[in-house]
Parts: sequence; structure tokens; C-alpha cells
Amino acid sequence: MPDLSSRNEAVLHLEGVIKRYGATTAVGPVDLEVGKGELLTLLGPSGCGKTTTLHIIAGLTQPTQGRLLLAGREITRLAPPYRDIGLVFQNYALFPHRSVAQNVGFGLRMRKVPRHEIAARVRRMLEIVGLAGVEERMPHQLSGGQRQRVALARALVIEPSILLLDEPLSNLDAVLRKRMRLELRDIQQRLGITTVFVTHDQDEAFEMSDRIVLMNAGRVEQVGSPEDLYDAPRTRFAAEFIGEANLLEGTVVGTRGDEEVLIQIGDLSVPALAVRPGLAQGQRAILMTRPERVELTSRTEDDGTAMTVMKRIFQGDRILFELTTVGGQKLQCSAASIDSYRSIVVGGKVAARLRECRAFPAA
Amino acid sequence: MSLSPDAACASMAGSQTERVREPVLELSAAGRHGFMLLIVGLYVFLLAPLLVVIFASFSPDQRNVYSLSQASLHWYREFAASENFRSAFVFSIWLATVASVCATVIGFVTAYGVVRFLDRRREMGKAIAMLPMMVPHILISLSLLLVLTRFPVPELAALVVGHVLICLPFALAGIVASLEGIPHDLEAAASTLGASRLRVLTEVTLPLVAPGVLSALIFSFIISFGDVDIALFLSGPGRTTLPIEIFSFIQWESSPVIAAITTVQIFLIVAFGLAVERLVGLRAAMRI
Amino acid sequence: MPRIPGGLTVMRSVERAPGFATALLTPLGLLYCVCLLAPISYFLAVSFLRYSPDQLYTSTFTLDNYTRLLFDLYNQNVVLSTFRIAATVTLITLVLGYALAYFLSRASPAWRALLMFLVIAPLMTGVIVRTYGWIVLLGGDGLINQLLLALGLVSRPLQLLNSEATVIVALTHLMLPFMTFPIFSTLVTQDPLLVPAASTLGARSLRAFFEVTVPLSRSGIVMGSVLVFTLSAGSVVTPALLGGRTVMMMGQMIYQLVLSTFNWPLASAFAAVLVFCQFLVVFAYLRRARNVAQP
Repeated sequence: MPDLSSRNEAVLHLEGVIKRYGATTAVGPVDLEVGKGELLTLLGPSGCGKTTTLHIIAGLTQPTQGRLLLAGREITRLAPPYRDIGLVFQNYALFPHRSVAQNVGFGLRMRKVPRHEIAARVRRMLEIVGLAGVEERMPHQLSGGQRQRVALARALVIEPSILLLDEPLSNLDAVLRKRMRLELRDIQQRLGITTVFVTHDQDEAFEMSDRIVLMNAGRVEQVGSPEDLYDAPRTRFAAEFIGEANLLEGTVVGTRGDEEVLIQIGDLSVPALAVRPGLAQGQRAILMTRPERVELTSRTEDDGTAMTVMKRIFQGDRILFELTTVGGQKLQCSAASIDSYRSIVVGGKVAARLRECRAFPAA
Repeated sequence: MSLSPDAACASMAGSQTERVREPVLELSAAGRHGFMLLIVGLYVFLLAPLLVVIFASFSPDQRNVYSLSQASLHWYREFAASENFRSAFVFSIWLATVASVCATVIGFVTAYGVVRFLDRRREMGKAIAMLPMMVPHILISLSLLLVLTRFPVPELAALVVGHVLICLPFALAGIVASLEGIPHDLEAAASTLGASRLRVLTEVTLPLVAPGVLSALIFSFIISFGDVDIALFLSGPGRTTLPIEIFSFIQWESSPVIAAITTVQIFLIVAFGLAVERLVGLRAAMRI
Repeated sequence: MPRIPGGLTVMRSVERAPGFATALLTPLGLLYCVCLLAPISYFLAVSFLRYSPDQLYTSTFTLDNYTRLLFDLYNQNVVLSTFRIAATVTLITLVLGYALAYFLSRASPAWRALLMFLVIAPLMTGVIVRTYGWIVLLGGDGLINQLLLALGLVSRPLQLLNSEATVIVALTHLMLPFMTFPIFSTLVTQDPLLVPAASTLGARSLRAFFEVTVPLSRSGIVMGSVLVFTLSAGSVVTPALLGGRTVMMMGQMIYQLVLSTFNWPLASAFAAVLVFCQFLVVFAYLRRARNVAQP
């Protein structure tokens, strides 16, 4: 895990970066730090500003306000050729009139690296990305997956301070996508290259990232490791975007210290951890719990609440139940596909306990 | 007469694999034959005048019909010998070269501006560029002539300008089409890899747009060479184009030497046209 | 350690500077304004000035030229015959050009390039070449007459040149590609599933053609018609060479006025009427097309 404790280790800083188009704020303010060797993902739905942010880092778009620092240099007003970045585009952007070797070697040529050295480095990099021997082919002769690797090689071979990837896997089919995720992460870790990755796919972000920046409508919703985001989403959007969530609106009826609260939702009374301090008594709040943290037993005991099973969906390794409380609250429960749970049928009565809940303000 | 289900399926399959279109109108056999007859007739109609001229150019004398064994290059020799026609031919070539180069350069610069910088107003930009096509060419020619009489502008310049004006819409259309086919990402990629603006142009943009530029050049040449309307009013002693020379000649006499000249023109133009087709496709170049 | 090109900080905006864009578009803008719009406006303005034999024009404002144009019988005839011929040519090329465009759009891609080239090739050879071709074909000792004589269908060569019909035929020949290609473009971009879809809704083949295919190719029809009408109305050389004394179109009139009698004002008036009617046709066509789209 990269050490982010000291600011000196951070390779990329975004300070108060804002991008406005006329009166509309497309992105910002964004404050970010990316540590050396870290893979940071910008995650969010389309239009959330993640690609714009990436383009600002790359220099393809200029921020209206704010500063960018890369490897200690201020690059805010620097043109892309001078930023020492490697960018992999969603559509790969391979030069169709140049061979694979010429594509990969392009950046080295711009940096006036001697020819024999270019050839050697290109060959080595193609091996690293798993494409040995295709130097002389033209892009149109390659498959989508191969083109993607060439694009990656082209960005990596110049040994940039930071690697930027703009949804590079979106155009691959599902199977290839899964495989490339792991390979990409593997290459990134082996080379130890600082990386910013943009995607709208939550699974992808989880599998690959050291940290995730969740964005929505141009703003940063939350920054954290995959586990942080999964266990402790701070907003309704975060809770809904990451994984599945049960979201129930209720009232704070009790507090203990800064973090522990008791939420009343209809006939349910559930303890939860506040994601942010300051949830006051009587305040409207949203209770969140993940479906797999809804525990089922078949009898009302301990502090389980009585519920009726409305739907049962068999998913192979898990079973998804839709439960309703006496008071009409709906919940989703994801249980392991083992005998004790398989025997639960639609219409059956179960007791459920909501564990590891989080609460955040309803506004 | 309705479309049979298999034809519909075939057309769907076709559209996904080969883009071959199934006939939409399923006519009876007689209707189909009639249609093909019409099409063949149209092609004959289109090509007959040209073929006739080519044929007549090899005539041994004034006749238009002769047997093949009598074919001769007599009129070609006469063409080569004629001072007027030779110099007009040379002048036309010179003029077409100058006009096409100017039109292509201006066209390239403008096309780059329109495609890369005009996002929302691109269609308007393209429409404005087509302005010379909306106006009758004789109007352009006359206006320039009028300006000539009032201002000290060299007559040759007016002729060149007139030709550049009528070539520009086509040069532009061809280059715009080519530029639009280059994904914007490519230039951005080159930039992030360290290429300055100039190098992006020379390494990425120009090589990829070269076919479009070349075809714009050739197409402009063709238009300039065949133009009559502009040269009609702007030609003069020492600057007569070949079409105008022929026009003057025909009004007074008729001689198969014209056939020889026009045959040479035909082959010249057809050769160039083929080049354009190979490079970019004539439809894209014509954009009509 | 690889060198970063130009390692110093460059204080330069990377985004699309509007100044650069303007610089790119200036040459064309300048050219059009100075060499196209200004001269044409100047020329058309002359139509409001009085003619004088010893000058190009005088600075007296007058509407004489237009009155002469519109009320003189001979001039009226010139204008009417111009538009009559242009309209006829447009209609004929519309039907023939549509057939050709339809054929091309249904041709297999392998053949299509060649077939299209054969349509464009005559166009590229220029007006003079093709008009001369018609002279050879239709002349007294031309091919057609020789054929008719040889077959014994006539005893004397027919006078095929020097008539309005000849001009119309030759103009059709010239204009056919201009009508064909716009229509072809619109036909080719049509979704191939539209007509099968129409057929599942009950439209039989011919009906589907007129209800689906034709309306969708409307923009091509409009563009082609406007192009053909404009070019025909303004033609000079073809009616001059093939019409002889029986045909006088506005283009020829203008030519004579300028180069023979140096009557610029009247010539300009003719040109103005030509352009004006042209735009009228364009607007009328577009308006009608838009109306048809919204029944």
C-alpha cells in the first residue's frame, strides 16, 4: 500500500480545480492527491465530470480555477506535450497510418531518444503488455484487445510521471474486460507507476483501485479505499451507486456519543453508526445496510424483527429475498445459497436482524 | 406485389453483413426489364456524345463516319501544329494548376478551422463555404470584369480569382470530408505523447488528410480546366483558355480538329478523375 | 532519463484560442467578401443606373432597365423561355435522375464505383466537350443523321440542331449527374429496414416506395432540383451553340449585352432577375417541401 502520510510522496496534486462552461460548473471544486505508485480511480455515472477531470490533468482542457502540480512542478498552464504524462484513450487512438512499433515508439521519438534505444524499449514494453512479435503489424490488423495493449504500451514506454486511463476497457467484451482488469493492475503494480483510472463500472473500480474518488454531477462525493466506500458511504448517492443498498428513511431517536445513533423507521428500531458526526436527536436520517448484512433466522429471537418473504430470487451462489415488515418497510436480503436459507419460501415468516448499519442525514 | 418475408429477412441480413440492398420495388419481370432498359438507355445517353467525339477525332478527313482501317492521327497533328490551340492548351493547364493549388491551400486552412474549431456552427460554416455554388458563374465572372474596368487589377489575377472561387466549394468539401474522418483523439494522443502543435500537424493530421487534399487538388484542376462561364468574360489576348478558344472556333467553323482536342481533354480529365476515385471516392469529393 | 521536449514551463493556453480559429477562417472570409460579395453587389447595383453608349454606365438612378426588361416583349420572351427551358430540364432530369440514383443505390458495391464513375466522367470533361459532342451527333453530317440516312429512314439530313428541343436535350445531358448524386446520397443513407417495416404495416411495394422512400429522399430531390434549375437557367454556351437563332436564354442575352453593345446596366438587370427568380424557386421549393412534411 502506498504511503500517503507525507505530502512529499504525492505525485499529483489538484488544488481547488474548477471547470466552468459559461455559467455552468462542470467540475469542481476538486482537491486530490495521488500517491506514488498508487492506482486512483475516478468513478461515477456518465456526465459526472470524471473524464473532464482527467482531461484537465492531461492538459487537454484548461481549468477555470485551481492549480495542478505533478512531480513537484506546476503544470496548470502547461500544454500536454510538456506535462510528462501517458494517456490511454477509450478508443485507443492508435495512429492508423503507422505500425505498432511506430505507434509505441512515437513518444520516444518526440523525446529525441536514439533510434536503436527506441527499438529496444519498444520491444521490451510490448513483451510486458503481452504482445511480443507484433511490431510490424498495422492497427487495423489487430483485435480490440490487442489495440488496447498497444495503446497501453505507447503510454508506458515513455516512463511518464503519471499514467492516465480514460475508460480503456469500455470497448472490450465482458470476458476480455475481466481479464484485462487483472492484467492492467498487475502491470501497474509491477512497474510501480502512479495511475489515475476513469471508469463508470463499480466492479472495475473495486477490483483495481487503491483508492476511489466517487464523483457525481461534477462534485467529489467521497474519497476512500474500496472498503471505506462500501462499508461507510457518506451520502445517499454513494450508498446507491456502490453495490446494492437498503435505504430506509427514519428519525434519530437516540444518540450515544458522536457516532452511535438509534434510528426509528416505522416499527423498526435499529442501531447504526453515523458516517459524519452531528446527527442530532429528532433529525430525519437515512439508514443504510447492505443486503448481505441482513441476517435471517426462522424464529423471532435475539433482537430480530418479524418479516414476511415477498420474493425469492435464486442467483446460484446467493439467494435474494425481498422482505416486508409488519409496518410495510421493504428490505432486500442477500443470503448464501446454503440449505438453511434455501428452505425459506415466499410467504414464509422470518426474523431478520440489520447489522452494521450506517446512517446519514436525509437531506 | 408486396415484399415477401424472405426478401425482408434477406434485406435485414444483408444490411448487417454486406450493405447490399435488396430491390425495394418488386416489379414484375416486364417492369424490371423495362427499368433496366431505361438505365442502359440513360448510360448510352450519357456516354454517347463523348464516344462519338473520340471516334470522330480519328477520322481521316471531315467525315464523322469512317471504317476503322481508315483511322488516322491527322487531326491530332493539326492540333499540335496549331499555335492558337497549343498555347490555349498550355495556358489552361497553367491556370488550372495555379487555381487548384490556391483553392486547395485556402480550402485546407478553412477546412481545418471549420472542422476543429466550429463545433456548433459547423453546418453554417459549411453552407457559407458553398456560396460560390449558389450564384450563377457568369455573375461571378461579370462582377469581376466590372471591377477590372474600374480598378487597376491585372486581368490575369481576376481570371485566377474567378477560378479559385468556383473551385473552392469542391476543394473544401473534399478536405472537410477527409478531416472529419480523422478522430479528434488522434491529435490529442500525439499531443500527450510530446508532439508540439506543428508536429501533430505533420505527423498525424497531414498524412491522414493527404488523400483528401490530393483529391481536392485534382478535382479543382478538373473544374478549372473545363470551365467556360468564368473564362467567357475574363479571357483575353494572351490569356485564352482552351474551352474559350474552342468556343470561338466552333462559332465560325466546324472541323474535326476540335474532336481531337476534346478527346485529349477527355482522356486527361478521365485520368485525373480516376486518381480522385482511387484516393478518396468521387462522391465524397463532390459532396453533392 | 528521457527528456521532456521543451522542459521549461510554457505559459500558454492550451485550449482552442478563438484567435487561432479566426485566423484560419479569415482567408476564405476575406476572399468571399472582397472578391465575391462586393463585386456582385456592385454589379447588381449597376442595374439601377442609366445606360450610356460612351460610358459603362452613368450615375443616374433609374428603373428603366427593369421596365425595359419586364415590359419589352422580346425581353419578356427571353426571360420566359429561360425559365421554361430550365423548368423542363429540371423535370426531365428529376425523373431520369431519380431512376438512375435508385439504380445506383441498389447496385452491388463492386459495380457501384464504376457505374458512378461513368456518370461523373462526362460531367468532368466540361461544357464545351459535351456540347461539341452533341454537335457531332446531331449535325447535318452527324452520326444520327448518317445512321438515319443509311437505314433509309429519311432521304435528307434532318435539321436536329438549332432548336429549343436540342438545347433541352443537351442541358438534360449536362445536368443529369447533378440531379442524380444528391438523390443518390439520400437514398443510400436510408435505413434498409424502413420499407420491409412499411410492408409489415400493410403498404404494398409501390405504395411503400411513394410513402416511404421518396419522401425520405426529399432533401436530395430539393438539392438536385435547385442545382439543375440554377445551372440551366444560367447557361450560355450550350444554348448559343445548339440553339442557333431560335433560342435566346438570359445567359446569352447578358453575354451579348456586355460584349457586343456594352450595355452593362441592362445586362445587370437581367442578371439580377436571374438571381432573384433563382432564389424564389429555392424558397418556394423549400417551403413546399416543409409543408409536405407536415400534412
